Amino acid sequence: MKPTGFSRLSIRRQEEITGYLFIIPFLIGFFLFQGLPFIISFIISFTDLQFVTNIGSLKFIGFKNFITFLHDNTAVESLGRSLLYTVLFVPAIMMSSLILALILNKRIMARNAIRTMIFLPYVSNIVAIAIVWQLLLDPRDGPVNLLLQSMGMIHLPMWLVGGTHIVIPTIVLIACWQGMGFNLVTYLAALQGVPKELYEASEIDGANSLQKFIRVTLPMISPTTFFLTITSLIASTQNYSIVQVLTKGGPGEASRVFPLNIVEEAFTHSRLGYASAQSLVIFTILILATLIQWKMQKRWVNYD
Amino acid sequence: MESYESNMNRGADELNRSRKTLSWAMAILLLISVTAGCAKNTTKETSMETPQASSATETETPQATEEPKKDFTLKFAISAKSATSDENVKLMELASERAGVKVEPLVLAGEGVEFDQKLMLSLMAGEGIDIIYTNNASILKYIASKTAAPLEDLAAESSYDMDKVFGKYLKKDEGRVYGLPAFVDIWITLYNKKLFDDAKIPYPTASDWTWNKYVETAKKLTDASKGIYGSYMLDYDVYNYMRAKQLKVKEYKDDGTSNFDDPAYAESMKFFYDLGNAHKVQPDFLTFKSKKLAWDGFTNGQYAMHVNGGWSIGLMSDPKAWPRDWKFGLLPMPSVDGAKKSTLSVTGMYVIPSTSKHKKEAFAAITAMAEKQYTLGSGRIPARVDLTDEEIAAFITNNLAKPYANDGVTVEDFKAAFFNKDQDVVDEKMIGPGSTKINQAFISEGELYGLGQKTLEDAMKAIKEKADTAIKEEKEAGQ
Repeated sequence: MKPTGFSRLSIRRQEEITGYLFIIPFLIGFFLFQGLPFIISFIISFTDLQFVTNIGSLKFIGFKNFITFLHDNTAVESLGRSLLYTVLFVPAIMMSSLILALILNKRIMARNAIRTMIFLPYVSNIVAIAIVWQLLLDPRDGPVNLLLQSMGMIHLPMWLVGGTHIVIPTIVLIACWQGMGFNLVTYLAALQGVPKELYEASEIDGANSLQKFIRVTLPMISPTTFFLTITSLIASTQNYSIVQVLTKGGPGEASRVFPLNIVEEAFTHSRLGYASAQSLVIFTILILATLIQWKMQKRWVNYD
Repeated sequence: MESYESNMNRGADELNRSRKTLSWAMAILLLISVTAGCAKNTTKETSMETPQASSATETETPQATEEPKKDFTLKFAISAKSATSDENVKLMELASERAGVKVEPLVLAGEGVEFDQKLMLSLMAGEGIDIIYTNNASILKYIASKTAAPLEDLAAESSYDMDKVFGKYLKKDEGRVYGLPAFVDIWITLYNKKLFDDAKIPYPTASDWTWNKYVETAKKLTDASKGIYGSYMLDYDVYNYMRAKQLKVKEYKDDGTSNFDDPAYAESMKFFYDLGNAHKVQPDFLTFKSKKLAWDGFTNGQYAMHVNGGWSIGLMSDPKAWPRDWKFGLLPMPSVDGAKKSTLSVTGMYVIPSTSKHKKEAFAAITAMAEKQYTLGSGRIPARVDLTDEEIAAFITNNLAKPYANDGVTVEDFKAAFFNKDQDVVDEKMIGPGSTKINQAFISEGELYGLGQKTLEDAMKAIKEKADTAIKEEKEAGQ
């Protein structure tokens, strides 16, 4: 029988079409909920749009929103806070999760229970986490300050409520504790994939534990480190929820990070054009940081 | 007889066909599931609606009744907490009766600023909301966003004279009316008689009720070792500048910049934070923030006096929500010593969104809500100019004071707090360019001052700078 329609195509072509059919649902979702809003946001950032309902009287104002941003102390300072958050968060979560993964990769007592405990915050409700930490860090009579007091500390930290200088590091600490589970599990998988022969060979060569870690472990898990660095970097810019539930940007504006500023401009002050411009600024910074890392990875990421 | 090879080929072909069929089927299934997820469900408009509200969606089933029954309901956007209050339940019943259509709550998530954000988003997204509540300051954003419908044509259509009923309380923007005022919320003082009795201190009187007297009395009542405080105030923006407002100090200078370098604003802020931090007559500000003390904390019986909007008297009339075993008293808001008696006020109003599909019915509903809300026994003062003195007097006696007779709160107390003609009533809200950001500046800088993180001078300087920037931005945006 002569093949017709789809069957007439080569196997390779048929497989290609089938593959595309599988990813079409995702592509539709991606375009509708991410691509299209991004394009709209990009366009809006060059307009004076305040309310969607006033879209008829929309005016294109070129780069005015971006110029306004450069002169807007509140916005620039909130971007600075976000950068500080990232600078603290990414190394902290990477190092702590790697150290814990190295420990939990050994045969220690109650290993699985400890792994579960570390992973638990990752799947816990952020509001519940906020309530627990707010109680722990209550500057008046929270257990942490009571402990510090009993140890003789006089000037107790104000943590989330009144600590204008300490509030961002405190939020980073909580965010690391919460997000560490994912990094830990990924690192554990990577560590378990390092061939034992390499350690045996390095032992024969007389390598000590530190040398084995630096010369064998780190290079072998470098693709995982690269992946986790990128995802942690992105996660560090998506800190709206945790900051909102912990401090709402306070005390004063001490923890008003960039996402909070964007949401406030868009939905409290109804400056959609200006808020979109700010979103584009953080998007550009993120893309640049990722590209730099992508280029730099050739120097330290080992895929062999 | 077919060869082994041809059998194998046919088998492989069949397997390939099955795989292709399966692949197609799965791809189509995925596609359907994605599009189904995106499709609008006409029977369940929003998961945030109450069960009652979700049953209120339009139905296409014709009703076999004598009169043509309206096959829709009106949606009143409201927060979860407000939706179940006695006052709002009764209010919706009143509105339903006047409109001839059931008015039901459309519950939106959050309270305060979060609720406002959600509401604005819902309105801009064109969600089917027919009635919203706002006040004389916040209505400006609905007008600017064109999400509030002008009411003149609707009033003319139903021969309703808005000026005759609401007169001076009608908020007009460029000559147009966008909302019907329902009540004037006047600031008052509530006090806990039991704590006064326990401390053997006579109840204060309205005639000489000033801030100095308030602080003096609060000091006598405070016994921090027992957790008893003489005063309780919240962290609302208005507390930061209430005394400057009472003194009618202008918010804007003649040149259009802010007037927050006027010493009255610094004095007002200092006075408020001193209550907790210096005089210790209420929890200090760090305790207030770290313990997240509640907006309705006065009802727990630990605080002797509470200055707040007149709405707070409603807390005293709902024993289910706020049970108490003590009686309360009512006074006017304390006046600034040496100045004329004064209090603050805000006008609550109902607005029809421009996206409402049932404006005619919604207008009928909001006329009932605006005219009658004060009759529902929640301490609301009517924003009407058509009531006679006799009607007002009857309202105070039979309606306003009646629910509180057991507390010993008299008609005279209500008259002194709400209807004193010798008392200036000043707008509580900042109304003007940049007002949203100005209020935010007061909250954030006030917080830093209250927590001891900034000096008063630095906080006031920052407020002035932020306010001037906000004014400039808003003026530029409006050009």
